[in-house]
Amino acid sequence: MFVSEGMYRIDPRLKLVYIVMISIMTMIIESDFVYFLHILSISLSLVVLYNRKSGVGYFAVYIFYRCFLLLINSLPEMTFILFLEFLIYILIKLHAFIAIGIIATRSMTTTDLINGFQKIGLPKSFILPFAVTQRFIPTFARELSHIRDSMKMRGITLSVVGIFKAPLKTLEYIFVPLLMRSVKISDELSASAVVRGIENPENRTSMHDLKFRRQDYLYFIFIVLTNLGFIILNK
Amino acid sequence: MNEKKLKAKDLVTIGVFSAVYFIMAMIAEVIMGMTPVTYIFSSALMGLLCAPIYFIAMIKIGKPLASFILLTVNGVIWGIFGVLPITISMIFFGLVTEFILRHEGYKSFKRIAVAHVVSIYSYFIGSVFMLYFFTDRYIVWAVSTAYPEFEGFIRSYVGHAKGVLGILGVIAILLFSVLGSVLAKRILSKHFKKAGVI
Repeated sequence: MFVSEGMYRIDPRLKLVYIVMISIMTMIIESDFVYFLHILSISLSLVVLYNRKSGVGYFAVYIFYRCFLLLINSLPEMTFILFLEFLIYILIKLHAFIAIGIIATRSMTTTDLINGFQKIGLPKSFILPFAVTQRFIPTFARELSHIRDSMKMRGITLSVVGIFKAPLKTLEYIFVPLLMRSVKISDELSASAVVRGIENPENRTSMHDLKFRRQDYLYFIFIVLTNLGFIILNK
Repeated sequence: MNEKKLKAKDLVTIGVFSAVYFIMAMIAEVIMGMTPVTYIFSSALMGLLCAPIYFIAMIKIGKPLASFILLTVNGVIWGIFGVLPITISMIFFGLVTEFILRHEGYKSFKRIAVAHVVSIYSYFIGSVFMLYFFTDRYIVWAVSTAYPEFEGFIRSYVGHAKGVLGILGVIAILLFSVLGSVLAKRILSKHFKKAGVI
């Protein structure tokens, strides 16, 4: 997976703060207009934190959803249309959380995340599992599709009928390879981490010195001001 | 060196299983979140789906604090997605599961099963805390941040959750978590013990 730290190399601690801010703001914003501004500010942040293409694309997808919703609203009311409307609305709400995913997995390398947490002073026994989890969640879908492929090769297809006919058996079919893969991945991952000296009791050092620079202060002011603005506009 | 202390290898294993645990919880939420009635049973499905993962993680690592860290990492991820009560409840009940699993508890299927049930309840309590204790505020918040036409969904969910279905949901969690534990035990002894994985 391609990971880029963005044009300005913003401090990972700020990225973590911003992630928490996005989720809180998404939960409290009520009006559509403020939500639009929220998405706009997230898109700008993505330009700063990751790359221009993703920021523009992210905003374009939101505009597409909105236009689609407008189009649907002008159609006559039918059950199918209503269902579609709900679906689009859920996608719009999830859109903010997708940004969290992009920032957490694409704009931050695991090293960055670990350094950031270490600077905050969290214990290693939390940092390491969290970093592994953050790295592993995106690759999980690929693992699942591998399992499905190999099940197909053996003539077992996952179907709704199958699940209802023999639920426990189907679960077993999914779980055994899934757990086997997980065990194997954790073994490989820990072997590679140990080889790279993760067991060293000293704190990790980093090639990039983690401290707030001018661009970090500017970005910090940007997120504080925009989010304060949203809170005021929301009232 | 203390054999009971978590090493880097164990921490990585916890990380991988936390990811799988979280995704299973998400799958349960998405499948059951389609209608208000089924949504009440989402934690029950989670009890079934997460059991094998919790079991294998606990047995494979087998050292104190494994359960606490796994639940904490999961809670923090839920917190990032905006559900802070789950974070608090999972951290607190993570400590409770440690208490259940103390003194070689990591080797006993029965005690792991109890810890699993507790951990699923901790998720459930976190997710419904607002609903039961601050019902009015919950409805106002949920309606104001959701789509206007979702109001019906939210109100009927709250209505069901506070009625008989809510009680059934709580019982279902116990049943499904135990069923999940039985399934987990079967999978582990049938496949993983034989293969020498655990």
